[in-house]
Amino acid sequence: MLFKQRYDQAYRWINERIGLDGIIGFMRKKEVPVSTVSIWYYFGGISLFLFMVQVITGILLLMYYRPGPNSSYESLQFLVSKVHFGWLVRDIHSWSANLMVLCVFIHMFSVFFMKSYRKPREMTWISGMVLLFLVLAFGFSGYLLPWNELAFFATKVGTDMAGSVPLLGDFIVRMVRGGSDVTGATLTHFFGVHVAALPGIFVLVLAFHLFLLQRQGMSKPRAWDKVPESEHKVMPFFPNFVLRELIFWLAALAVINALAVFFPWELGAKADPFAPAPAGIKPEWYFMFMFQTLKMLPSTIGAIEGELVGLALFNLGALVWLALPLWDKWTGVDHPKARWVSAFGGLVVLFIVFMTVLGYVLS
Amino acid sequence: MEKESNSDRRTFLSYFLGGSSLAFLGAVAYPVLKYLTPPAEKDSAVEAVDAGKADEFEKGSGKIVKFGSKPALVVRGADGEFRAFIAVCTHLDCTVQYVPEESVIWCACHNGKYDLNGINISGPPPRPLTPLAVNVQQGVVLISKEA
Amino acid sequence: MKAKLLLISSALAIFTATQNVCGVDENNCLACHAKLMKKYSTPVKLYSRDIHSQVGLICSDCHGGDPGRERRHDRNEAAQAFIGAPAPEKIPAFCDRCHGDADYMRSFNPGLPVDQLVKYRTSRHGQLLLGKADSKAANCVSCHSVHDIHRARDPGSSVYDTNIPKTCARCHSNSEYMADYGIPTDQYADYAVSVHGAALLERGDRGAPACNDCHGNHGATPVEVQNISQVCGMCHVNNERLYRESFHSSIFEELEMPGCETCHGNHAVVAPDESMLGAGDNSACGQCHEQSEDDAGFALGLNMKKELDSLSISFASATLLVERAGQRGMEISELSLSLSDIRQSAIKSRTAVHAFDDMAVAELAAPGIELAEQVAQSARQLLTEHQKRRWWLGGATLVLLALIAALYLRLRSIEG
Repeated sequence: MLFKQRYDQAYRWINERIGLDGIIGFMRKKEVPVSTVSIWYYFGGISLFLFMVQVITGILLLMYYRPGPNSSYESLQFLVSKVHFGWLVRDIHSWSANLMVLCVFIHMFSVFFMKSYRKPREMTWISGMVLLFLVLAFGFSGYLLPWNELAFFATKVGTDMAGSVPLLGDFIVRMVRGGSDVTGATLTHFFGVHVAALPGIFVLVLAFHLFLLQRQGMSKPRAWDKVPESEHKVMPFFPNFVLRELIFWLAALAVINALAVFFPWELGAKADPFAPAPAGIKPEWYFMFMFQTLKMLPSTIGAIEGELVGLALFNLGALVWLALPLWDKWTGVDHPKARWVSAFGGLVVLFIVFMTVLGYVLS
Repeated sequence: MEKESNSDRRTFLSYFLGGSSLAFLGAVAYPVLKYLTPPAEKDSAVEAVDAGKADEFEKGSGKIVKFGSKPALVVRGADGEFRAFIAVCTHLDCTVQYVPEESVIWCACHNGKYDLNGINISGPPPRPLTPLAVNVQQGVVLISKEA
Repeated sequence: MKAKLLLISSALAIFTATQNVCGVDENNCLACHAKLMKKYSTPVKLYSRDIHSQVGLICSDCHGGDPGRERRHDRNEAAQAFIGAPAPEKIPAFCDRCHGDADYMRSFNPGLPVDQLVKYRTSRHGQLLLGKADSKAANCVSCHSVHDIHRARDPGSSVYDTNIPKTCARCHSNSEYMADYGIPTDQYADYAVSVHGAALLERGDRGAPACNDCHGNHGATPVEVQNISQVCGMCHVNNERLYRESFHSSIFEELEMPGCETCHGNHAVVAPDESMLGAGDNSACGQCHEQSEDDAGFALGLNMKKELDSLSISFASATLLVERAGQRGMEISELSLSLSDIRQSAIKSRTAVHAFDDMAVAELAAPGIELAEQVAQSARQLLTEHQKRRWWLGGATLVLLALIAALYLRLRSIEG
């Protein structure tokens, strides 16, 4: 009783100053479509939740992690073995990172197949794709930070690819690596990017993405176009959808915890820049499809280096995918050609999955 | 009657929700707080290791101490100066020892010898011993990785 | 007739050519020899890298003759003092003209010894070449090469540490060449698979002995039986001392059996292990002792083996447990240090075998065994602690499930 009283007093105090009623009313009014495809609506929220987990565990890791070729690995070793629950924080961060990449991919593809990117939500799609690229950048930069053997060589191979760009290749590689080789300078560069630059940019783009979402509401399923409005089932965003989301978020947390305990992340051996690369260097699973494709391309195509052609195609592909709502004139207006766009997307998914599996099977 | 049991149920649910939320917050806060409390043992990669009191080292004596996961040899020469090295022989990783009579650091495995600067002077060792920085502060000998 | 004409005219042509070719130069030796056929021009090609060339010596400084002369050297003209290429048995003296002269050598390399010929005369090679005029025996150039001599510490030298075994093997592994001498030719093959050979030839560990470290280089001779253990003892100090002080060494001396070599071999020295003390094909004791417990000596070996086996087994299991704990992210630095202490103990107790005293071995092995058990115990504790994390997870999951249930019920009450 006393708790409720204090709660009401606090609510009233804030409400008088910023009009909470209005915000909550808006949230109550906001509706979320209820249909068979509703399950996909949660993936955006889970991605957001995982990002928050990353920020919190990342800040905690910052308390003990010391970047530098002579301290990164050692401080991490200290962290996972001596710091209370250090192993847990580190493993949650690593697992949640992977799950976040998976969730944003699922979120992106579900939006694609549900056609939610059609007018008026083009900017949401584009900002979402930017967020996806940023998440991949987070993954790539963060992977180097433990400064272990695998991370070192994966980064070396990954940044080597930028070198095949004509004219600018060397410059790009030197900018990214902070030098011509992967060294301590690369480590501090990646650290600054991972911990400061990327979070800052990400939060801004994310805020824009969420603002659009709130402003425009959730996209309605395509199926509803053919169904009279009286049969559209909806639920209020607040509290129904929010409660459901919370349940999913907590379930995701339980999954991450289980992964952290049953599949702990290894420290690996400390990176030695002068040692030869160990056999079977692979990138993280979300880059595997690109890695495998580039490996399978012939060394020259026509007069151009095969790798360069592969990279160019991937970049072009990314650009095409990013600009999807701008060139896809058929989806929004229910044109028969819209099926081709879906088919194209299906092929892309199959390609990515196939190449990823192939990469692991062949190694 | 039904209304009463309903409101009973609602109160129970409120308490259940409140209680489990508190438990959840506790289950998150406890590891975070413990995590932020600095652990007892220090990180030898940066911090110095206590090798004992300076007075306890006789002139012309050596002692093996733990330095992270490796043994370290702390030598106090006849001149009173302290020197420290990672006590792992650079030939085949045996633990070296100080021989006061000859003022050398000796490896019993294959008769390798190092002088008091850690330089390999005789026998199979191919490289000098890894030196450590020694600081005597408030009568305590502290050894740490060289910068 | 025509053939003869052809022969004479070509000979004349060559003769004229060589005459014309000799231009005006300070070291005219090079001018002609560079243009001659391979046998005579190879030295020119090689010599620029030779150490003698680098300190400023030219052909005539060793071979005599007049370097300013524009025509071919003439052995018969005494004024030219032309020596040319010496015969094999004259080579040691040839090199010793300078290398045995302390005053002369001091001007080039004060630290270089000048007793090579003195030592060489005591060696087998020297006795054969100088005493019996056997030109097959090794002389200076057989090992050091000629016109292409490098400092011994130059990795390109045929007498650099890692190259010495191959240099010796050129003759000593050639069974045809060595047929007259009645000694085996498997030394290099044995050495290459030995601990020392693997260390030197495969890992480049220059601390490992090459042929000259045990046999001497200029005074190369097979080691006398009574001296073998002393030579091994140059590096294996404790093993030699303990052996020398043990009762076994006087027995071996009486039997004129070499220390060290009898059990470990000479060239094919492999890494020793406990099976050398026990029964079976690899038994070193079993070469002389009857392989049964009734034989006091063999029984002593068995006792020592028991201790060493026990130590190596407990060491192996402790190492495994510590590694497992480390892989799971537990703190193992203290345990790793203890493992290296156990390793030290294993080394000491194995060395103590050479005292042929099983009590000594037991005394040295005991602390290692005890420490290994402690380490294994601590490692098991770490693994248990790691397991405990699963309990924590169980608890946390229960809390999460409770909260999820509460939220779900609240949802139901709102929507129901």
